[in-house]
Amino acid sequence: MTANNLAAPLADLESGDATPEAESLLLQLTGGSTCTTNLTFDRKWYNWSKDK
Amino acid sequence: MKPPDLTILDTEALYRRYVRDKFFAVMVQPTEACNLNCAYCYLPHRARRNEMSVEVAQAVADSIAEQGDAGTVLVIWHGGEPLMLGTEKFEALLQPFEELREAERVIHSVQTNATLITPEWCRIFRDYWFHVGVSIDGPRAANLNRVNWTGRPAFDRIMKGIRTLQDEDISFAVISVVSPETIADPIPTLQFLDTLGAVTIAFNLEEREGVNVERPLLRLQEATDFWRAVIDHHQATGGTTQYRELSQLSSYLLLSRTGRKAQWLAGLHEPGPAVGWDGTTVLLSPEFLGMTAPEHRDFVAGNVLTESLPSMLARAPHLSYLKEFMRGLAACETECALWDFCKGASAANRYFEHGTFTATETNHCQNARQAPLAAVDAHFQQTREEN
Repeated sequence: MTANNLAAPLADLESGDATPEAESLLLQLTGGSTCTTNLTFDRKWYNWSKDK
Repeated sequence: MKPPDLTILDTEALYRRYVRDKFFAVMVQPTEACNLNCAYCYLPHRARRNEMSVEVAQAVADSIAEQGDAGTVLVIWHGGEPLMLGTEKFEALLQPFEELREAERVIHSVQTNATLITPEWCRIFRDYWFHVGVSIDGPRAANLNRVNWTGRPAFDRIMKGIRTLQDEDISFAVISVVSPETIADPIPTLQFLDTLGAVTIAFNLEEREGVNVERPLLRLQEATDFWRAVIDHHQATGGTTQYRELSQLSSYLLLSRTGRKAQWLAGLHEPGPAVGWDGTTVLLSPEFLGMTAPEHRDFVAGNVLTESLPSMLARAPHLSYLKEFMRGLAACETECALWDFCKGASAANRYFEHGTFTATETNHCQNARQAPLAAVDAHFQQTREEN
């Protein structure tokens, strides 16, 4: 399972040495608002953020 | 939560563990027909000219009402090309939902190839408060897979529709399919999509499903390189565009980093009812509509003309493909390090890639889950090295 090759990077990103640059990029990538829903509504067919 | 014991798989208990008992979205396929014949389309019957009746639309609306106070339900009009119905027929299908819409219990959404959009369609989108999604892959050279039935590129007609939306001040989101022909050169597409003014952009990395089984698969490394280019572009341009996968991954990471991961983990899978033009209903994924799979009775959960969606959902844990999917999710939860973030990717991709829902890792989860994560990690590593 190639996903498990990403276990360490994910753990690092989750705990974060929370540099201002990292926080800033993540905030930018959210588009300005953190959604609190997970990916389980697969949005392949739909692309309006219900959190906006 | 403790992972499930794979030696004792009670699929009904797993269903309650993984799937919401109510739906917050219902996909409606008012026709299988499409005026385009895109190279990567998964739909087997897109040349058929069939149309949903008002009775089927009424049955969907009645099902939403029957669900009671379950929050606002998204009614996603998809296809085929839903605008093939014409404005008069389409507006008639909206009438059964009017009471629910006015009570804010329904939000309409439409995903269209944009080629048929006129000012009259814009009036409907405005009057019925539609979320409009447009399918366009990129500039002319990156849009060559989107063609009509004579093989002629649809780019000019798509852009005409988008200009009509812009002229009428209708906001829209974009879904762009990234294919083997375009993945290695994303910058022109990113620059082009920036000019459209979309509220969000979603990149669907081409998937092997339905009748799209012969084109080459995108690989994890090229997908990672693609997402890396999106991140770099995002930073270089000031970061105003919202890209679906990156936005969701960043939300998860920010919640985790601030002690709020439980909010994310509380999410459950959507049962995902999708209602075809004749009322036939499948669950989990609209890609199953119109498919043949004798081992799973063609994925049919029922027909909304004879049984309500809540009633079908009550029986859902006993459907063979739902049972298989529960076992697949349990395997993901047990085996995959990305479970908390991903919670198990699409059912359709498991089936169409592996022939079974018990499969875990798919090409889709590599390209849409793992690759964005690897790209964000690579970006941070480079930032650290530069500092």
